[in-house]
Amino acid sequence: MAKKKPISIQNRDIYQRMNFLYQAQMHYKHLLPCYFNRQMKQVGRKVVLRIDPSIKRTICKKCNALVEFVEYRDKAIFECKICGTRKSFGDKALFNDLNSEIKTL
Amino acid sequence: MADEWHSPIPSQQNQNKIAAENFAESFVTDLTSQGAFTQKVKGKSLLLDTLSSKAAPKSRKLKTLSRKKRKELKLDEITNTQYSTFEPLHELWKGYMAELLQDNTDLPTKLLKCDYHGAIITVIESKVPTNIHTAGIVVKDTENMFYIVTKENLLKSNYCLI
Repeated sequence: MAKKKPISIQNRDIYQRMNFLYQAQMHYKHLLPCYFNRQMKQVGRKVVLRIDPSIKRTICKKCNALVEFVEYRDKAIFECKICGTRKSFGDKALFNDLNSEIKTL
Repeated sequence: MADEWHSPIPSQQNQNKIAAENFAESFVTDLTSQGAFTQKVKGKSLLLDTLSSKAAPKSRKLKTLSRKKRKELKLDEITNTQYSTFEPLHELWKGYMAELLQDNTDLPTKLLKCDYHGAIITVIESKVPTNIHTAGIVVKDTENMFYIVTKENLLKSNYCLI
């Protein structure tokens, strides 16, 4: 973020909480990340906080599990191991700027 | 009595029909051209209201899981109750609290709003006497309950009042 203004105090608490929850879910596999991610979204929903799309892409929209994109042919794909939803981006070049989110198959 | 109202005398029926037709024609010719009447109205059944254009009901898109599905997938259950798996979470929580409590402004609301996942909690008072002096790491935190994992790798839950 290029802004130099400090974030307003009320939202700051919630940002810290969401940050904590997201870091917490990174430590775990399988179902616990679902729970933490859901909490994170719920916490942010009340104050209508935006989550950066690069983080949103790592969370399955349906079940909130931690998810990784995989390069397949020309696309970037993931399949959630828990709820089975699949998502594919036709243009894998979308990901090239953002810290190599994709792992090659 | 009802019959008399609803069924006119047979000889009258035809007369009524002719009378109606004649009236309609004469009434309409007063207002519009005769041609339009014979083409569009006379002898035709007219639609007085638009037909509802609703197709098959829209299928609900897969944006959220229903409660049934959530239970099936066990998304809200805590299955792993090993104390050792939650110790790193506790360390993370300590760091989070340290950051929160850096400025001493408005501590009570901070304590209310903060996240308790990973905190070590001891039960002091409880309706269930066996729960007292139980201590453990908070794993799940709902509106009324704290779910704790104790050092004996047991999951305990206690009603909390704030």
